[in-house]
Amino acid sequence: MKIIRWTYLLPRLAIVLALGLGFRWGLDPLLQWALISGGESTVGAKVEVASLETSLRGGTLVVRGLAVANPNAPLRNLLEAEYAELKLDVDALCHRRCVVQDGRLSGMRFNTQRSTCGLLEVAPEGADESPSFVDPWVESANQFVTAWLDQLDDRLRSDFTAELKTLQIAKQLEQRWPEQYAELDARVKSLHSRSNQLEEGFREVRKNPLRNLAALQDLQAQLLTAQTELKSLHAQVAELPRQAEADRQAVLAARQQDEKFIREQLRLTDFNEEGISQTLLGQPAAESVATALDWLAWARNKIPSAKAKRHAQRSRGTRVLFSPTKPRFLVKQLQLEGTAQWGAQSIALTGSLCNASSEPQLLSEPTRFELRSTGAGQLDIVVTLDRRTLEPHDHLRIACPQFSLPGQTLGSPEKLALAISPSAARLDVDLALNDNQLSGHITLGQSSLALKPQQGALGNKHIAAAFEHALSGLVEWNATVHIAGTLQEPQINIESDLGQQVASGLRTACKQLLRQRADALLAHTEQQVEARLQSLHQIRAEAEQQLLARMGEGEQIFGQLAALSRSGNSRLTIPQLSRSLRSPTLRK
Amino acid sequence: MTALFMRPVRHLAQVFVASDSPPQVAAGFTVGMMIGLLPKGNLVVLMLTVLLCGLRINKPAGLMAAGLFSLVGLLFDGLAHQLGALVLVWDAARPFYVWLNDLPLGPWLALNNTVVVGQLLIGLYLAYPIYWFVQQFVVIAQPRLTKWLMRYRIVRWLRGAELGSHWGVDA
Repeated sequence: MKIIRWTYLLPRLAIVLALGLGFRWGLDPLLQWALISGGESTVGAKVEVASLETSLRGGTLVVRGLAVANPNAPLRNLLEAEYAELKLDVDALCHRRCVVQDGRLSGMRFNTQRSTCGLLEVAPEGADESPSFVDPWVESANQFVTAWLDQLDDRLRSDFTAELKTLQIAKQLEQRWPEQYAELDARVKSLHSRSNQLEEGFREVRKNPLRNLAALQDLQAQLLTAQTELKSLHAQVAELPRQAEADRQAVLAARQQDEKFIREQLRLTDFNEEGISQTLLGQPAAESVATALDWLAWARNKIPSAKAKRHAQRSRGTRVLFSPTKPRFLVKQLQLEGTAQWGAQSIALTGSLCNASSEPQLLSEPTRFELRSTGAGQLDIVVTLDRRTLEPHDHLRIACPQFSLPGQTLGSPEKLALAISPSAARLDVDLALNDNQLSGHITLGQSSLALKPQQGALGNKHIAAAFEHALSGLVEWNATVHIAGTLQEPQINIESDLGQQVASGLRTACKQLLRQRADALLAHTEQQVEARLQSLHQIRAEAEQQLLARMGEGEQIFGQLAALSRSGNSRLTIPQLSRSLRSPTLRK
Repeated sequence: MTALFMRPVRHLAQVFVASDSPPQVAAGFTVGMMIGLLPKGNLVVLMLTVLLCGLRINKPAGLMAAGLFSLVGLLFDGLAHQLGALVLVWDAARPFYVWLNDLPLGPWLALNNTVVVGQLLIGLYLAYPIYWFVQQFVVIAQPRLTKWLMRYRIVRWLRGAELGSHWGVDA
């Protein structure tokens, strides 16, 4: 009896063989579908594969025309690769593990254009529309610059003429002196009138001196009073030059005060160098950091961590491990070749991806991604993703000592903005993410650059000219962005000599601008005051002469009358009176 | 079509009225017992199934035993786990286990699972006794049962259907 039932086995073997052949022929489309589906679920955007070929004997997998869409930009590709060849570990495949022992990904290009939308039909969970962490920060810096520019514009446009002491004093003098002159003139006229009355009185007395003796004594008393008044007037008129000198001193003092006032008014609040750095660099730096952190958060979300829950096994019994557990999916080494747009130039890149795994906590080495440029510009990118412990540690290091940077505009074009010409630049990024704590810095420097303020934005052509002059000497700057906080609430602080250099130039230019403005204001004021004082002096001199002339006449009469009154113990004798009354003065 | 639906019933009848010899029935039952005891989803069960189907042993007896011992095996899981754990942590055999596990398709054998190893050992341990008892039972019971069952028209019809299906007649 034959122990093997060949009639049963042979048809089944034939079926198994047919299934095997079908599997072999269907393996490539199956793997292509699996690669696309897995990639799309991981990335959250479309993944396209032009063709896929496998070789079970050699354990190789060849992928052509790989395109991974950018989930944040529907018409851009995150990554495009012309050719990928993966050397699979067949033994590991038999152990239910997929291990890429070695591989090569060539013709890589980043951020390329797509002809079709890369978004999946079933959109992933809605993006966070909450305001970015940089918004308040940039807003604050912009407010500072706006306030500063407004202040500068106000200072340059303001007219302080009405508030100047010199002009006020000149006006007061112009007002006071006519009053004073009018008062003195009135007193002189009054005195002159009284002298006429006295003269008239003495004429009356002359007609009958004996009968009018009492009136004569009264006239004598009035004469004394008038003489005293005349002396007082003389003293006041004599005081006028001294008063004029005092007024001149007051004007000089007021002018000094005005000069101080104008300088004070035209003084700007000191430049906040840090604020200028933040204004000029804040928005681009913060946006770059935000983009980098978004990608970091996205990558962290996609990369499995040691915290990931293991799926409970549904099988009966317990598995005894005779060797360390190995990850289900592992890329031991993958060589990378491609090109990327870096700054204004296209650079060739080579690199590697090592220890990328679905269960990185099982590996002895962290996942490491390296890219180095091979062309003219030097670029080193090293990303280390360590998931061996419960707390994930990620580290990003980018070093690029020199690369060409295209022209760009820093700051807000509506406020303080600088147009930067294409220049050479250097970049150094050292960013660590331990669990959820961010730390590190981004250093960026530019040299051989030309800065030009935005003419239209600044409005005031004097300010624009001053800025242009101030920035003409700035050819190199460095900035360091310190990053701290958490992935969800990052904090950045910018240290840069750009603000210091710009502030220094602006300080000089604005001081000069404001000094010119102050000098112009003072000169204009001085011209006005000088003209008024000159006019006042002339009026005063003429008035003084007139007063003195009028007072001279009165003085002569009073002198004659007084000479008569002083002789004879203040009593006039008849002959004295007669002589006196015949005098020419009284005959007028 | 009728043959397709009647096949399980025919298989049951064949256990006793088929022309298979008692050793074939006993061997089929024994292999079926082991299939039933072992947790499914590993290469050991697959190999045993191929054996059951590919060898000239009584397949209906094997299928019946597989169904029966699948239920009975659950009752032995605790014992099987303890037994398997005892064996798998035996240091002297560890290199063998490592070698076995490192073989291509080694993990598919699931011979690092305590219940699989325990049930396999229980099955191996029971294999010969079960084989002997079933053979003895069939030797004694098969002629009498055949004679008794053949009195019924349905069994004769089933047997005829079996012959018909063998000859290519769809009953």
